[in-house]
Amino acid sequence: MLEVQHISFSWGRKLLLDDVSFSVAPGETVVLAGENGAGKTTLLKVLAGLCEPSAGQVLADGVDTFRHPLRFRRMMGYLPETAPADPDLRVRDYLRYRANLRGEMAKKIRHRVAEAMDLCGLGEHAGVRIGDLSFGLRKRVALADALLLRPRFLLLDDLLAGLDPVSRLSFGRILAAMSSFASVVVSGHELDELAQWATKFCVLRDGKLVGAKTAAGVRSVLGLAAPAGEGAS
Amino acid sequence: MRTIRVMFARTFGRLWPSPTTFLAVAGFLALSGGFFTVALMRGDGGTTPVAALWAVSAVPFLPVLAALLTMRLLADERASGRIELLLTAPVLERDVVLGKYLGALAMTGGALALYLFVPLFVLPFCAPSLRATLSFWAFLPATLALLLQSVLWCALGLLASACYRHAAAAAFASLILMLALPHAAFRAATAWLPVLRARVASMPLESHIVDLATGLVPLATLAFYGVLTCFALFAAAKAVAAVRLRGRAGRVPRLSTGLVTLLAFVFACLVVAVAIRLQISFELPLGAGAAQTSARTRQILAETHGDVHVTCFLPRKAPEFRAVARLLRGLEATARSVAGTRLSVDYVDPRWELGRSVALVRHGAEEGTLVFRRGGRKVSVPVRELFSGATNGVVSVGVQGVFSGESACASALLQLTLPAQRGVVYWTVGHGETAYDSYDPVYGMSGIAREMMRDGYELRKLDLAASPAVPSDCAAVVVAGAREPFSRIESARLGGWMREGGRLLVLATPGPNAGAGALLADLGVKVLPYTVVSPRTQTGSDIVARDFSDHPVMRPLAGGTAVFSAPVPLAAGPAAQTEGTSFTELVRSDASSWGESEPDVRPWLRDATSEPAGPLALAVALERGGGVAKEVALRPSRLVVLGDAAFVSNGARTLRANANGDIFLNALAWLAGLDALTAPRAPGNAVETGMDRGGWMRFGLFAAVGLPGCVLLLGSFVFLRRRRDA
Repeated sequence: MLEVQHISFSWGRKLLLDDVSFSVAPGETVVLAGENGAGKTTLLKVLAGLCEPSAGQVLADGVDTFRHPLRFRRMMGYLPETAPADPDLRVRDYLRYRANLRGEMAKKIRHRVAEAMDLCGLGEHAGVRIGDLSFGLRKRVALADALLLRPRFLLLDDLLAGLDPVSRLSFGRILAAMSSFASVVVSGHELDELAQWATKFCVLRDGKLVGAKTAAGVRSVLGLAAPAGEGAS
Repeated sequence: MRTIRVMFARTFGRLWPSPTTFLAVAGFLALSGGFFTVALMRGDGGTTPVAALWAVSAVPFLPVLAALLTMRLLADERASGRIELLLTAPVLERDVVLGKYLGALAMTGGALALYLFVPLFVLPFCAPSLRATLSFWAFLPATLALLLQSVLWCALGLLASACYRHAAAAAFASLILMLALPHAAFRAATAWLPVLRARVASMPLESHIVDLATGLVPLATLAFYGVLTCFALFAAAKAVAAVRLRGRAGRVPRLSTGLVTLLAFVFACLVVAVAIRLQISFELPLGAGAAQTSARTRQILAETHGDVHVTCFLPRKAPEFRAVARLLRGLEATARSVAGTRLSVDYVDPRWELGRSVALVRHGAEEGTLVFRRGGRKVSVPVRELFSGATNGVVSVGVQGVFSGESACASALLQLTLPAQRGVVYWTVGHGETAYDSYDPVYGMSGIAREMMRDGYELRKLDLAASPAVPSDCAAVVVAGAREPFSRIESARLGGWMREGGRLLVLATPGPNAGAGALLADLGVKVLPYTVVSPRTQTGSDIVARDFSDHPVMRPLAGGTAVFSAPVPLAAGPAAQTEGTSFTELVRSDASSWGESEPDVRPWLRDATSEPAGPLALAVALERGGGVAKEVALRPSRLVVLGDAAFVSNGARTLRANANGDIFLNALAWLAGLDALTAPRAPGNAVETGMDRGGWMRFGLFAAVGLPGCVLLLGSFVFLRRRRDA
């Protein structure tokens, strides 16, 4: 269970997150939605421990993630928005390096890497240098990195951005598979795709959390029109 | 530990195939190799060890190498956003920094190992005479010294890389930290703090290397590099951790991190200051110990008894101070090892120890002298006399200077122990001889004259045409390159004196009748009408002779080198065959040489029918009445002839590493009957490459072009292979 309690974060005088609270149970997928600059990426960074909040706390299975950061990081997988990875390494070597760095036992690394590559559809690209991959494939590599050690908390920033429809679909399947054992927080603007796997929506507006339970609710909160297909049906 | 290992492997794996790495290492090797060649060329004949020259040549380029290798390590992570992935992994920032640091350090160490290839494999190939001194162990302290500096440079480079998002900016900041800031701080500190000016003589980064390479390990130096490295790594880890401290909430932690870093810096400075204050240092057995002093010095120190006290009355900021201090440490170590005299040394800085300075001045000592005291006797040696280049008024110091202070100190010790006066040497004039008081830097004889006076001889001029006879107090007569023939009356006076047990030393000039040629023929030495040439040297007329006979003059110099410039060959005349006369060829030329009858006509080709083949005698000794004289208490007459008029001129003695001066002084001591003075005075660690122009060209090309070229080739191969694989 990931519990976000009264998180506030300010940059200079600007309040980016204002008293944000929600929780994600194991098996739940929470979609963070909102306009650009609403605070989605900042909130995910705070959850990942990359930014110190000015107030509030994050509890992972009851443990304060800021007091025991190493313990939390062992259970967490994080996919940044830009999906960075070492361009000079081959996909398999990169994942091995990351598994090693994240403290996986040497004898399990091979299995973990193979599993993550299978899951993300990277099998045929295992020997290709990351620098030579397209953005979509690089994002798959970054996702494989996040999923590598079967994390209990998965933080995915702008998961579907810049992907073609087929990739979006396969990413959705991966998300569905992961949510069976992890608490997933995913941000993005692709409400329809995400709605298929989301169990909960959190809408951020000017750093504040605005409640919404469905994609339609999110749209109405954000003042967006419903897609044509949905209106027809 | 695991994180460190993983990060180390990743960093090393990232650096190894990078074109930047190959370019940086090749550039480092080219520049260091080039500087080493030049330093070795200038230091040839000096006493600065090859290892120190090698290490100092790399000092200016090591920061550049470290900056280029470390610039991307953290800056790229920040620029690409990979730092977020690192910081969300269950690792400590400290371990990430340490792993990356060790990777960069290993690569720098690899570059140093390649640079070590130059003195250990290339130099012995080009300079076989140095082979015995070029062992790995001799270079170990110098290598460790460079590694110690790399330890700090890599840490500072990583700190800069942690603070910037752009690699170029990080490299620029590193160079400011490593090169500009220390030099500026040194200049500013010595300008504004007189205390520091007196204590620190030269830029510490170079002097640290020379000290460590010569075996002196000061605690302050270790503390300086160790503590500052720890601080730089600590600050780099804090800079990485500060990535988390964004936003308003991070303001206080950012401030406290900055404060902690500042406190750590202050603490590091305090530790270094305490280490400097303690003045603790220890000597490595490979360094400036007994092994570095000459046989003559060891002999003198072993035969001297009682306490000898040496006061170095010299400002610590003087450029000569370090070389002199190293020499005195070596003498102290030698005295301890030979268990002869008890030598103690103290240093008086005239700018800071006013009371002791005044006391020294009252006792007649001048600033810039070494005062040797034993019992009631005192000998002062001006420091400028310890440097061979002082003849023309310019003292050449530092690693590139020719430092011959050991010989002067040994002579001073000898003066304290032997009787004050050892005889008068008369120097003939009036036949175009080179005067002993000629200070011409090339043709003058002032250098050897100073050595003679330091050894206790008194020098006087002798005009045989004006004097009725050779004075009775004459220990030996020197005829130094007389061009005009001696008159019959002069020859008769000198010949008569020789028959009564006289001692004559002749620097012969070409032509059988030039100078004292006729007299020499009467005495039993023929000056042949040729000039010795050899295809083994670049000029052909410079003869490098290593074939020494087993004679009291030459025996202690076995293994040394004498250099003759267009010498005349010598041979035994009929008078040398008479009973009771022993004729010895002291130095012979090589087998490929010959006596050229027309040296002005090029090219030189030997006419086998008329020109004598080598080896030819270039220096001879003749003793008449030696065996009989002991029994009947008569003094035997002795004659030494050296086949080169400029054999011990100032130019010949300072420009090359040779035993010319030793041969001359040993010959003089043998003539004067002072065999105790004939031990070699050339220090044991004198650099004598024996390389000719071709050798230098080969060495320079391989050191500055060949090895870096190989690195670039390897880099190209790796790069192309990677591209092909991709």
